[in-house]
Amino acid sequence: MIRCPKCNALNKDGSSFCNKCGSPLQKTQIRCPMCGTLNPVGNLFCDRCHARLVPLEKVIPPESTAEPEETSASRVQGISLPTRPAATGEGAADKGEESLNWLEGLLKPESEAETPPSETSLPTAGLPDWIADLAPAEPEVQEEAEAETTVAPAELPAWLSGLTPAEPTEESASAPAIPQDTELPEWLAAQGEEEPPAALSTPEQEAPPAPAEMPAWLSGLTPAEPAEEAASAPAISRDTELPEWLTTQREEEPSAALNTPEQEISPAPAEMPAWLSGLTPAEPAEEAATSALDTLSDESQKPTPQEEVAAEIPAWLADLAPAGTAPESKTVIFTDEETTSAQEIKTPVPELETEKAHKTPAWLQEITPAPETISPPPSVPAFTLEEGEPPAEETGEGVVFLDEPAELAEKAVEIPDWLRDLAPTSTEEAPASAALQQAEVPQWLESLRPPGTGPLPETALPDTEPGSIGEEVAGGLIKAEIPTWVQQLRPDTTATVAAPSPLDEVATSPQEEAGPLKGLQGILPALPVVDMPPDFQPQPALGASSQVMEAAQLWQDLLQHPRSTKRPVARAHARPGWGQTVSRWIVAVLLVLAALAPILGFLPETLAQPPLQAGVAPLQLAVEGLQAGDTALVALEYGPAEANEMDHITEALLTHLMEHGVQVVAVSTVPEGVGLIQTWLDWAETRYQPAEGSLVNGGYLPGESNGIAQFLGSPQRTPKPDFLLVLAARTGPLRWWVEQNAVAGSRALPMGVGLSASTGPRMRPYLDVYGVQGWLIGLPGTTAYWQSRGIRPNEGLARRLDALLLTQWVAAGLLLAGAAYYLTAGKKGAA
Amino acid sequence: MPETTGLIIGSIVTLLIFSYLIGDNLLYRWALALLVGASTGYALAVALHFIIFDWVNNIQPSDSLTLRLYYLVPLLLGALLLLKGIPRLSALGNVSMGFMLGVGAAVAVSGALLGTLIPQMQTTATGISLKAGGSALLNGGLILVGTLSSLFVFSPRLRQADKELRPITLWLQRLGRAFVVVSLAVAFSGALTSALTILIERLWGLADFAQLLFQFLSSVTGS
Amino acid sequence: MLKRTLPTAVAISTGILVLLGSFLPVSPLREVRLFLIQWAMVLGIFAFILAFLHLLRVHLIRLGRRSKGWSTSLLLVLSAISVLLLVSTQGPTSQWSQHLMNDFLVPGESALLALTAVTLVLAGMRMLRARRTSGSILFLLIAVLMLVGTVPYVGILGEIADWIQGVPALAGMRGLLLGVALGTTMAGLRVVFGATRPHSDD
Repeated sequence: MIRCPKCNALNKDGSSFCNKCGSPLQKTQIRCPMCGTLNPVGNLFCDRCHARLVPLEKVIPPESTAEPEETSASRVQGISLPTRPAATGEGAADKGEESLNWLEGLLKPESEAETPPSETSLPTAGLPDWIADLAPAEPEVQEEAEAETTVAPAELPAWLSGLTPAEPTEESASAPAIPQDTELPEWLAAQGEEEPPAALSTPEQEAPPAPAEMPAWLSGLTPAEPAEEAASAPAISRDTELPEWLTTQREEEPSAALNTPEQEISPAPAEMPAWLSGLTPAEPAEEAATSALDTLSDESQKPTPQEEVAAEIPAWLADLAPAGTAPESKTVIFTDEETTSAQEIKTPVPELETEKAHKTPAWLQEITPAPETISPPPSVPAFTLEEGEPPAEETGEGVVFLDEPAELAEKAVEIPDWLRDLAPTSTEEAPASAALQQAEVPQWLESLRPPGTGPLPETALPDTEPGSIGEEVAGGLIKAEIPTWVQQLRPDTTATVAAPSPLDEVATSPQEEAGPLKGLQGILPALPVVDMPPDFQPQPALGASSQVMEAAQLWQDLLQHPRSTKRPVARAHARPGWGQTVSRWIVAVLLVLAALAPILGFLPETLAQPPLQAGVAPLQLAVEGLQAGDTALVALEYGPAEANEMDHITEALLTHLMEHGVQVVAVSTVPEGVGLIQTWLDWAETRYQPAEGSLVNGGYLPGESNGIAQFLGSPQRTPKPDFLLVLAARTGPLRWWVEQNAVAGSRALPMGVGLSASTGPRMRPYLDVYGVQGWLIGLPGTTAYWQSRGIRPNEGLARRLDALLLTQWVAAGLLLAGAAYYLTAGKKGAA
Repeated sequence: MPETTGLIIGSIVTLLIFSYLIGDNLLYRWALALLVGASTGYALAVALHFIIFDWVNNIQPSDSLTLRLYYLVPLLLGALLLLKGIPRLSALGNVSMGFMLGVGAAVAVSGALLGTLIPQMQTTATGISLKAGGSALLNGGLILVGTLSSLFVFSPRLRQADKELRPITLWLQRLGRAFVVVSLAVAFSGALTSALTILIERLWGLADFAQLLFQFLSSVTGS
Repeated sequence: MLKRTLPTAVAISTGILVLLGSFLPVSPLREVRLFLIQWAMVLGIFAFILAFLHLLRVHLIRLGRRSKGWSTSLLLVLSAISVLLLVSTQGPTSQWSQHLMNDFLVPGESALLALTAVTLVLAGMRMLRARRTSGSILFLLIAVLMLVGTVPYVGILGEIADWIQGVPALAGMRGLLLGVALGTTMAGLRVVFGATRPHSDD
């Protein structure tokens, strides 16, 4: 969370403005546009996906875009290493070759050039610490380093950054001042106080690398003691550390080239490493050049004449005596002041700007061209450039180019003899493409190329064969050489050739043509969210039930349904098919015809026989046994729907009760029953004109079984009923009456039951229990009840019974027809 | 005249309901809505009539506190029960619900035990009577076997499909299933008979309406 | 605690008292049982009132939203309120209530039940389409026998129907009713002893 400096409100990381007051916030993190990862502000590339975080125009200083070579040569140096704008001095002309020169920084910047980007000029506020540490400690050192080749400290890998001189001291007027100890490795720092190696001094002091960043294989090259004795000539090493071929040079006088007017690259003998101290003044330059060189080797390097090496060779160097094999990979040589020395000694040192003051030790000056002849290379690390390919359209940022020092050609570079002897004697030792190799990047460095970078254009590389040392190749580059003993220190790259690194794949991937990611490489293609093979069968999860699997399969089937096809829409009201409608009409018509025929009098005589029901006679006897004045409790338990059927039953029983003079108290647990009760009481009163109070509407008994229980259990109820007649078309009320009547125990009432045709079969078990005197069911039972009383049913009842007979026969026939159809038709009949 | 009006109204309603035979239509739904609303309103009116006239009306000014509480406490419980319709206050009606369910459950238990289980078992047992004769004995035995086998049909243990049943148990279950099927078939026929009876009654009413209409038209046309 | 315990305590106490009054019809228990039952009757009416209000609420909401079928809801609400007012003011036994019952409710609801005849016949016809088992065939045979024997044209058919209804159907139905009674007893005892709490929210 970012706290707003103005209102002290907390905001999310990556916010540009405060959500509360709107004031701009100092960004503490940058969100990657590709993967969304939050990166430190100083990052130029995402730590996760290595995408560019800061646009190129923000990184490259305006002045750096003036040089076309810089524009084309600007390279991203590392995977996540931020880049710095190339410190291009005015003297940085002709940066044709986009070779990397890690020693560029050792060269003094142009005196008349602008102040090399100093530590204060660079936006170090947002830079990571390791970059900030590369900034020069003292501004005056940076000013003096103007003449030196400007090498962006950020361009240099950490292990090389220590080679850059921290400050050009006053002593460097005669000899290049050795950079501060914090800037130079120990082995160079020791000789830097008096005779700072020119190759190690850098005009840009903004980010002097720490000595501790020296790789292990070069750390052994660091001198144990400063080469203070290299006053006239850089004390390269002690006699015991020198290779044989270098020790032979020790006796030689330092060349005039080493004693440059600037003397800034003549290291103090005392600061020279022991192994370099034994070298003659002419030798330190060579040693500085070779020691300042990275593991980069050059095919153009001439085989070290081991036989010419002095006897005093340190053991570690003796073992590393060049075997005479040319390096396999192409190399790019970082040169700085070394080139000055190289020029002086006419060594094919890669072009370096000599226009700027280079802080090269004396021992390197011998083999490096004059600073004024070397133009500060653009800040493109050489190892990021592929052979023959020009750099991308990035402008130079932190890339060191091996420019074509046109000025180099102007000045004669005196090459010491010992370096001349190092020139390749045979062509096979100096392959034809040796000149190109100096600009070629070794494979092991190629793998470190960050995405978006390309190899150096072939045009930028010298196309002349690596020839003699000091020979100017095409493009104004001076052929540089790497001693064999340095080439042998190159890591074995045979094993790394096999598999291409991911960076290679990224680098070879096509660039985005449009959009916000235009120009970037290595962008992952948009893959479908779910990329399943066509024959993919999802495995059921352990423990998933069959219902879950069916639901999942249904979902899958629904999702696979293409949108283009018309999907059936479920209707709110499902309409039956024509078959169902027709069959419904046919059944309805048949039933209606069967019912209307007797109703309309089309039948000559009654068809129905007297039905048999076992409970009719006992019921009739039970009612018959009631005396006048007895009270019959009639429970009218049906509603308006069943009234058409139950009215016949009610009429028959009520008539019997009224004819016997029985008092009737009617109740109902059905709310609508109150109205029906009143209708019958009105009918009975109109027809029989009983005594007043003979017909009582007991009303509604709420609570269903509770009401019945309360009604039957109330002891003060008057009049006390003598008979209970339940007329029910529903199963519940009959059950309640039967049960509560049984609960009443000794006060249980004798029951008579009149049921509808639908209730009868279901309640038949209750009709046989103790307490139920008799029963009748439906219209047939009513007819049978009238017949049991010896009364002929009226015509209407007879017609209704005939109609019922006919309709039931039609229904039975239809049932049989349907059964026969589906039995014989089989599954075809299923509609 | 009121009878004629009633006949006309009843016939119209009957025809509206019978229009469902042609297909689901708006007139049928309207008639159904009217019937449902009227029936519900009538039932509530009867219930309120009981509360007002058969309960509250019984409270006399001279009644004692106990008697008044006797009439007022269920009204208060009923009012709390009405709060069940408001979600936030529904918890207040739980006491009334508990009271109602406790009493209802006890009444149902006592009725089931004393009115169904014991009488039915008693009747089943007395059905097997040597005194009644051969046919009665046969019928009684058949009823006993059918009753017991029907109970086994719904036994949870015997309904396990994966469990191997002994042959006698399997045959007993099949026999019970047959008795249940027969009883359900009889219930089906009884329901159909009841529906046909009502259908006949409705058609009779329509016939009366048609006759009335014919007479009306005849009187109008003068033929 | 009061929200959960009190309703359960009330249910258990009233249930036990009523049970005791049912099985031990001694003097105090019998009276206590009666007045508890009477209170339950009144509460049943309020439950019916609650159901009616819920019905109105559902249809009024549908009416307010003018959703599908709003006209039906309008008619239902209007008829319910108008009949409620009419019967409440006039009384259930008044002339208007009688006319309403005899001339409108009885014919209408009877017609609805009459329609089930067609539906039942159609369902019976299609029974063997869904299930072609011995049970289905037995079902149809018995149904046909009962239909032709309930109103017999021939006397033997009536006797057969009567025997079927009195013996096998009785046995099967008795088994079913015994099962229902056993289930009712167990469920009621669970409620009385607090094992099941349908009245509480938990």
